[in-house]
Amino acid sequence: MRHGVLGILATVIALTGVAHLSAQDALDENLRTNGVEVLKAIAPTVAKIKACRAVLGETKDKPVLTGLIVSADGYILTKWSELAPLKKPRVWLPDGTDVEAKVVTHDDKLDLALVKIARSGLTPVEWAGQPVAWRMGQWLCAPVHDSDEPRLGVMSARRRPIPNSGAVLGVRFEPSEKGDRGVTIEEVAHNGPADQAGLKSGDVILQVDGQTVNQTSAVRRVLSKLHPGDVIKVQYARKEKDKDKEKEAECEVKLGSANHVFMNWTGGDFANHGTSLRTDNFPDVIQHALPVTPQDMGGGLFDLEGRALGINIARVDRVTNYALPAESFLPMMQQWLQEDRGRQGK
Amino acid sequence: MLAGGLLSAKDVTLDELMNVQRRVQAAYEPARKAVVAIECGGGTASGVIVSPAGLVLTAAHVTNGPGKRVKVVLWDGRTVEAKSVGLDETTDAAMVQLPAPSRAWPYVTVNREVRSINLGDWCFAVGNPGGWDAARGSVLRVGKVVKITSNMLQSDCTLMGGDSGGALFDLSGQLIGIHSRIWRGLDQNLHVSMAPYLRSWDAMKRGDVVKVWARGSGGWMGLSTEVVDGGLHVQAVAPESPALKAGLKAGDLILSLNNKVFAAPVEFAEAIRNRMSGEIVTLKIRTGPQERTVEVKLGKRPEE
Repeated sequence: MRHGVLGILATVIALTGVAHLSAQDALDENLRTNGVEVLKAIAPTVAKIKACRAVLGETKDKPVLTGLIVSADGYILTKWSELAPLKKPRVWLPDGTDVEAKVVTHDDKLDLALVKIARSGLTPVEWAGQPVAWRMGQWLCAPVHDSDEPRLGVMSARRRPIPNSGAVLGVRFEPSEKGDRGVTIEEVAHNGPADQAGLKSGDVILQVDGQTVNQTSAVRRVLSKLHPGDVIKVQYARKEKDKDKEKEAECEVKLGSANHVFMNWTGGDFANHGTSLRTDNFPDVIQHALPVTPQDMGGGLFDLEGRALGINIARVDRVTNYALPAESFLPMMQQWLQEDRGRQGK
Repeated sequence: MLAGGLLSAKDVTLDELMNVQRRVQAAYEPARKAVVAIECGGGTASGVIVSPAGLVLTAAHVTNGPGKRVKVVLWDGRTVEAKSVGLDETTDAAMVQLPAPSRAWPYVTVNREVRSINLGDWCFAVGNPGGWDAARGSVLRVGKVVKITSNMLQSDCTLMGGDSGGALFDLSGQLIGIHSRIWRGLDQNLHVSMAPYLRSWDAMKRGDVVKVWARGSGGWMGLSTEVVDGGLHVQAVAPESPALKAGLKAGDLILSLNNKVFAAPVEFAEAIRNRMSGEIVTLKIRTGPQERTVEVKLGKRPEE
């Protein structure tokens, strides 16, 4: 994996450079691109975006993602892969109240889910007319989970598909030999999927998703059929301390995308401010550079008049976010709504 | 410039934002064709062509010295072999020379009026974060100039690894900065301003390594300082410098220059640079318990 030149070593110098500056050399925070004075220019839009923003999670102090209210009768569109693991998802509404969320359906390809809450009279999103004439440098804004003000930025790179980099455990194995029992972990990616599940270097993985694995190629074969975000069972053997005995155990691992895991192998997210679990395998994305976080994914992407152009789907790194353009999912979403209302009507 | 902050606050309107968008989109098209990716020493970074003959401005931590072979990827994906030339060790400014073009390289114009840039000016950044990506192309960011010092600009155009050496433009598409480094905050993105390039243009172009106290324009005193309680502490005095001739020594405390108090070494250095060589300035100095005033005749920065 290639790394850019501008990095952590250089930034240590930057800190001492900044420290010498006196306050009067700096532009007031409120006047910066995302300062309150600039956002006043789009005040009606700010209110409009806030009205159709929902925050999802299990507890109020730990928001997981954002959602877009798409109908007055309680349907919310959001990102699937970070919603899926929530056992009891709840929705926090613009009025501050919260309510239980029921997952209606989801789509793996676009990483979208439709959620239903028992509420009516909500203010739904207003969609921009289709098709949108996307152009580099056009202003975009999006809600964030931890502020009533949206963030402002531009479409920053070519519209394109993002290829699949594959699902991984976030481990490096010792070379396997014929006749081995299981495969031995040599290194675990810091804070990666395996690390979060409690796997350690030296552990011998015996089964992945129910399949016995004695070669690293067998692990790859199993993973090639799975997706980032899938939660699978892993059986492993661990040597006990000061004993020759081994203990077998099982854990659940939530697979990460290869791109994400390799880019963050040593951990220490210095300046990205978090990245999404799934950052690839999208058929068609709009790239933008808004200062947002993984918890803001699933929220709408708007023009300066507050009309939705798409939905934010992945925080990739410090300068990169992906959004799905509305035309790629609106027909599917309309069908979801129609089908579910039909079921409710019966 | 120093009067920024709320004093220059004016209401931002939707019209202004849309005008920024129109100007960025118009300027981006020619600008992006001059921005290149630079591959050297196992890393990837960026640069920008500033002459039809193929002179490229980049960051010093990208080239890491003169006379090195680098691979340059043009905006359309073509690659050419180029050679690093000079750099300025103190400010992270450097140059690369492309081979003679068959016709002319696409290039951008340098904004030579460094002082025309104000706090809060809109600007846009182009570069190759994460390295060259053919499907993606270069990446655009729009923001504002949020800090200005004698050699650097800071903007809220978010940068990351791989952007180093890339270009910061004003809304007319003229080059005002070269991406240099970041700190954690998303508005902590630093660019080398055009000042060090313009100061040492010919020397860097012919392959020189420009060092502290080396050539440049403006007044020169020949000392370095650090900030302490009550003033600026003299760290070192250059040989044969006006400061040495005036009897200044390491350890002296500078209380004021022409009765003006300075809070930071960069402000002091800028005040000196903004004066002509030959001008006499008055320093209030404290050495141990004793205070005195010293007159210093500013000199010219030495060639070597």
